[in-house]
Amino acid sequence: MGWHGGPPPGRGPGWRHDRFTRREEEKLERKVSDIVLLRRLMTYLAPYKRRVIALTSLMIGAAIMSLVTPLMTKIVLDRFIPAGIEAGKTSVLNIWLLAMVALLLAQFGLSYGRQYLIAWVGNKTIYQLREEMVSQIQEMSIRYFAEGETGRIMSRVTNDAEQLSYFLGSGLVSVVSDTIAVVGALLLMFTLSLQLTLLSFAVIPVMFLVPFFMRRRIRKAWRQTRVKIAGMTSVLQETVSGMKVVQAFTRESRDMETFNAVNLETVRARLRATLMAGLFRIGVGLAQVVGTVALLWYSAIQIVNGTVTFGTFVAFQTLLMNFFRPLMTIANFYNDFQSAMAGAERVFELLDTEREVEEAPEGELVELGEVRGEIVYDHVTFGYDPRTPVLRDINLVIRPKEKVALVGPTGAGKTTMINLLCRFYDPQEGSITLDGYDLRKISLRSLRKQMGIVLQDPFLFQGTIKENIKYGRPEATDEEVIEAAKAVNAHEFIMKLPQGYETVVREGATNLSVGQRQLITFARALLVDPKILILDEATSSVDPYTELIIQKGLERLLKDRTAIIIAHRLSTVRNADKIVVIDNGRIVEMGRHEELLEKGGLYTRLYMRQFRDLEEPEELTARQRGAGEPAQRPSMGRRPRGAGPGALRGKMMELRRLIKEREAEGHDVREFKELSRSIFAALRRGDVNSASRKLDEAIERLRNLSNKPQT
Amino acid sequence: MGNFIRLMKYVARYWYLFALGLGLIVIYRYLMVVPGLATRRVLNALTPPFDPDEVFRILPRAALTIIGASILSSVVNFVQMYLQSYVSQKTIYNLRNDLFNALIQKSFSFYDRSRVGDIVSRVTSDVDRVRRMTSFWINQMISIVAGFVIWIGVLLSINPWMTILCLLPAPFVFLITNRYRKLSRPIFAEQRRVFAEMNIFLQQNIVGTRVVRIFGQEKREKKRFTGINRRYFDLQLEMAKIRALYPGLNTLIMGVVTALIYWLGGRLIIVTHGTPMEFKWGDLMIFVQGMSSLMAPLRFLSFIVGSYTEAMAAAARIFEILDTEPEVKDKPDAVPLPPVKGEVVFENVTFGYDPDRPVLKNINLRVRPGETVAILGPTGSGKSTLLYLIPRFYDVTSGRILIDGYDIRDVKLKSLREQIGIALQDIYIFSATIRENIAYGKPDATMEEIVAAAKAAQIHDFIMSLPDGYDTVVGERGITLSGGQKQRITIARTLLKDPRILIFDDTTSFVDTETEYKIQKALEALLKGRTAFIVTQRLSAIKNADKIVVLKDGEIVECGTHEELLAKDGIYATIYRTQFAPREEILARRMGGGE
Ligand SMILES: Nc1ncnc2c1ncn2[C@@H]1O[C@H](COP(=O)(O)OP(=O)(O)OP(=O)(O)O)[C@@H](O)[C@H]1O
Ligand SMILES: Nc1ncnc2c1ncn2[C@@H]1O[C@H](COP(=O)(O)OP(=O)(O)OP(=O)(O)O)[C@@H](O)[C@H]1O
Ligand SMILES: [Mg+2]
Ligand SMILES: [Mg+2]
Repeated sequence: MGWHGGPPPGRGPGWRHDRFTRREEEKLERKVSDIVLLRRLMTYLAPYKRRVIALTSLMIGAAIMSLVTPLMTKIVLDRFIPAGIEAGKTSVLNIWLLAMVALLLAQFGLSYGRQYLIAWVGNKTIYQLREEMVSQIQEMSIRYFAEGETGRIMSRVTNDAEQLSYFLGSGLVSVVSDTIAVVGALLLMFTLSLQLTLLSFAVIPVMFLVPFFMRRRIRKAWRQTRVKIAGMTSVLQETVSGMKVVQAFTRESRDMETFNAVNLETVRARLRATLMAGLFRIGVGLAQVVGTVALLWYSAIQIVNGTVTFGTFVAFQTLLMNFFRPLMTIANFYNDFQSAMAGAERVFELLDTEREVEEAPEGELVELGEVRGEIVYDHVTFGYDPRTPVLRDINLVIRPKEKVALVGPTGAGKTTMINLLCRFYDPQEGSITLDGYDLRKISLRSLRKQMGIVLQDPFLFQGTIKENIKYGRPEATDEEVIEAAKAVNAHEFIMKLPQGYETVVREGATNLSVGQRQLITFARALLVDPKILILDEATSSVDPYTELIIQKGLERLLKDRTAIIIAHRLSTVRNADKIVVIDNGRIVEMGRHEELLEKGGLYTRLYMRQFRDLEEPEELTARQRGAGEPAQRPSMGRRPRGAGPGALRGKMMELRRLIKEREAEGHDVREFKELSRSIFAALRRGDVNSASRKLDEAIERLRNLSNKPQT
Repeated sequence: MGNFIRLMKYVARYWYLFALGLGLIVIYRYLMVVPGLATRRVLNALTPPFDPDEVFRILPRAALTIIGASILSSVVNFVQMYLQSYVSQKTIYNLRNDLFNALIQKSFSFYDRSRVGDIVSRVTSDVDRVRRMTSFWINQMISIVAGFVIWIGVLLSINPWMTILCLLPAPFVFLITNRYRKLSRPIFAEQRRVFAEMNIFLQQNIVGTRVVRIFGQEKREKKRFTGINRRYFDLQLEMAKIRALYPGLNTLIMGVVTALIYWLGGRLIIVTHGTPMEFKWGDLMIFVQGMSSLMAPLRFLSFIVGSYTEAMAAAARIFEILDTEPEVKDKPDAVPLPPVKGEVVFENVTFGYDPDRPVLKNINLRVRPGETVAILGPTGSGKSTLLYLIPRFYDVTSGRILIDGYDIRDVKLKSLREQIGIALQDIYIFSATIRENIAYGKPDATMEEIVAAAKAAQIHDFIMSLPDGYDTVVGERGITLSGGQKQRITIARTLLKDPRILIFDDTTSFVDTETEYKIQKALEALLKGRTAFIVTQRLSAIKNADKIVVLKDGEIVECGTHEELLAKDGIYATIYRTQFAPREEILARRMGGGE
């Protein structure tokens, strides 16, 4: 994976498309041998042995029948008509007509049965394959979703499977019947006329080889066309999906160019293919006309000589067709076979993708009932790519009913911890246990049943809001749904929507605000009433006020549950029983809020950052306390101590007061606001002298300002 | 009919090629008959008792005629097919470009309403249906009519009774085909519907696979799929039955009629034997050939009629896209917005996605150039909506928005949006390299600029830690990145655009406080002299804003500086206190332990 050194951005339209084409071509490379694939495919036909045998015999029957029709023509021309002329009566033809109609009816029956069975066998196998593929999609490694793109996985289930079904239904079986048809036609031709047969063979190379070789190039041209069309579709798909970004960045004209280019390419490819196909048709036509004329000429001589009958000549023309058509199919079989095998390979590749997280063998598998909710990470090391660990040697004990918060810089590995706990991935080293059972021993179903999870990325299904909330427990009553919605403070806004709980969530949930989506996923997790509740940034886009309300409710809701909470807004997590600080894949600190603040490490830093003003002069705090005089100044290691803080603070207060005053008087004080900010900055840097100087200056100027006449 | 004419207008650009193609079809149709006639002459000569001399006299001429006519007809056919293909490809090329051009101008509300899959299929499948019609429909019609006329003329001149026999199957073939089409059409439609359903199912289950698994709903989803899968299988079989029956019936009828031709022709040969009006073998054979040539197009005819209706339905869907005017578009007299200082004014702005349900009510807000405005408010209060109005993603329902005194509806959209950088709350990462993603709004940016933007967004170090650095391809929708990483990439993307007016819609919600602080520091320098709107749920980030706007239920309930709002002791002060309550405690601790 990974396309190194892609073209620099802006090298012209179509970069995305180039990459697509390259990938598409990569797709054509084959890795598994045909025999292996074929053998595996056959196992899908095995359950329908009887039908496959019936189908084969019908096809053989049809192949033989196809030989009888030209024979019947020969007979009527050579026997019945001359006999009629001789006898001077026409009634002899009636018997022939009856026989012919009977034959045609039989052919009709055969063909009906054959087509029906082809459809049955082919579609049944595809049905089976699709069922398996969907099961696989539900269980295969999450990793696969990160790499494969949605469209590509989808096309395996839809297009590739379809192609296979055709091959299994008719392609494979028809080889048998086609061979019979070819051999039968050949034998019949020999018995009818040796000379004509030999002549035909003289023209076979022309009639047969030309198209055969040309066809390969045409195939390639058509494949190119398909690749181009697929490329255009992918550009279209992505542009339409990201249209809001396109417009926000006024990329319209550039994207139009890109599309125009891929559009033109498809047209060109298509016209090229049409050209090839046209030339091919001319080639075939010419070869055929040479053959027909030679046959006509030679037959005429033979008829004149009396060595060939008229009927033989007519029958021969049909027989030649009966000979060539299946021969072409057989010749093309290899190509069809190849593309079917390519499809098979992609289908099996999907079916064979690692499940990575496998269920334990029957004997060791544990079905969990009610759990206590004790979770232990024991020396866990994990990386999405095993060579670059994202989590390193994680040790963590979460006791039943404990509320644990995971905090840390972005990209530290918090979500990854959760991914492991849900067993989306298994750790490379160490283990995770729930109630003492290794996660790898617990059946996935019973494991996940214990958990209610709010993912960082709030995914909602297409359907109503109610269906979405009920997703994890479809049998829940409306009251329960409402209760869950109320618990997360979502009820109110849901009721304000046009159809309330029945409002349909649009694709991408665009008709809900981001916070609203989060609240719905939150309600969805609560409704399953899990023993373990995991919240990954469940309220990051929710306003602090709503969050506070939720939190109050949560205390009650979380009472009997183990909870893992990830949040950057630390006000959310300070009440946790245990706060785990993760940095760069390691646990760097752990403890209660107060303990961690004592330590003064990463947590303290992250925590302080939310109250940025703590590093600024404290008049604000003072005001909040309602105290008139400046509060005692807390000390921070980075700030110079004893640099006349009292005096500075007083001046700062004065400055602010003056700014307000002048503003109220209608003066333009923006400059001073700017100034006061830069003074804060200077203070923070510890540059007390310059700060003090600037303060004096500013206060002086502000005082003077009031004396000047106002503008 | 209106749609048909409109489609034909697309074709009309190439009318001379199109007309040429039609002319060639008639010629081709005629040339196709010639070899048959030549063969007939030879075969007639061969009718016993034959005269060898005459056979050998006719043979070379017939051979030459056959070869000549065949060569000529395949060349004519080739030219005609190519022309036809050229015209139809050019037509759909233009049509697709027009469609894309229309799509790219559609306003957000259009995309709010539409499904991506539906739009894509209109540009691909529907256009293809139209192509089939423009390339086949008219051509086939002409071809069929010409073929019919020519063949009937030829056959009539030989024997009227036999000609009638040849035409005998016509009504049956037509009726059977028609019935076939009528029966299969609803099944086809249903198949398409079920197939689309299957696609939606797959798409949802692939994108949402984590949710499915977490909630242990695999069984239920699987059952749903089996239902769809089963239905599809049943439909396929139903279709197969019809497909095996009706065309098979046609073959049967044509076979029987062929047998009848031999029968009647045989009788004619027997009866007329030795008379001057002798019916010869070649005559018999040409009727056999003539019958299949007459009937073959009939089997298409019904489908050609069908493809017309289908193509017209497709055309209607296409024109629907072309015709729905973008709700937001340039006025005819729109002027380009000159480079702005960045004053943004909302005057009595009311807006609702559905005009009956206003989301924003009577908003008044004046933002001076260079000011930073923070917007706060409960979930769903309309913060994002307010921001969407500035680059005119939606038009206000009433009131107006002015930038530097220009009503934004009076200026050219492009010139407006070029001066505004917006980082949307809904993150969209293209499946491309990180570099391409950051440079999205400025594809010709130099590497230095890209790195500078990434540094400001505090994402540079992370990118450098990746094996391929800036050339790392991120998965679909950035799936291989953490939440905060995605957000920082969108911040970098916005910064790189370097606009006068910057909008950040909650783009640091997944970013930790430390990193956010650094971003803020970097922004402080970058925002100098620029107008900025920032939505965030973290008060720490906005304390220094020049103006804080608190929205509630679509109304501005508070507006002012941090100090002013605290003094006011309203919602802001309440939120502030709840979030900052712990602050007191820190102070207390410090005082206790620190000094
Ligand atoms: N599916 C994936 N494949 C490869 N790498 C991944 C994948 N998901 C995450 N990563 C990488 O693993 C690291 C940890 O990501 P994780 O999502 O655990 O971070 P996080 O702590 O949750 O961050 P945030 O607070 O931003 O959500 C990041 O560097 C990220 O790029
Ligand atoms: N495209 C849309 N179509 C219809 N309704 C919408 C659409 N987008 C948003 N809404 C509705 O408009 C209201 C305001 O949404 P908006 O996204 O502006 O909220 P917000 O203040 O940004 O919330 P958040 O903090 O959660 O992001 C919500 O009730 C939402 O359901
Ligand atoms: Mg995360
Ligand atoms: Mg929003």
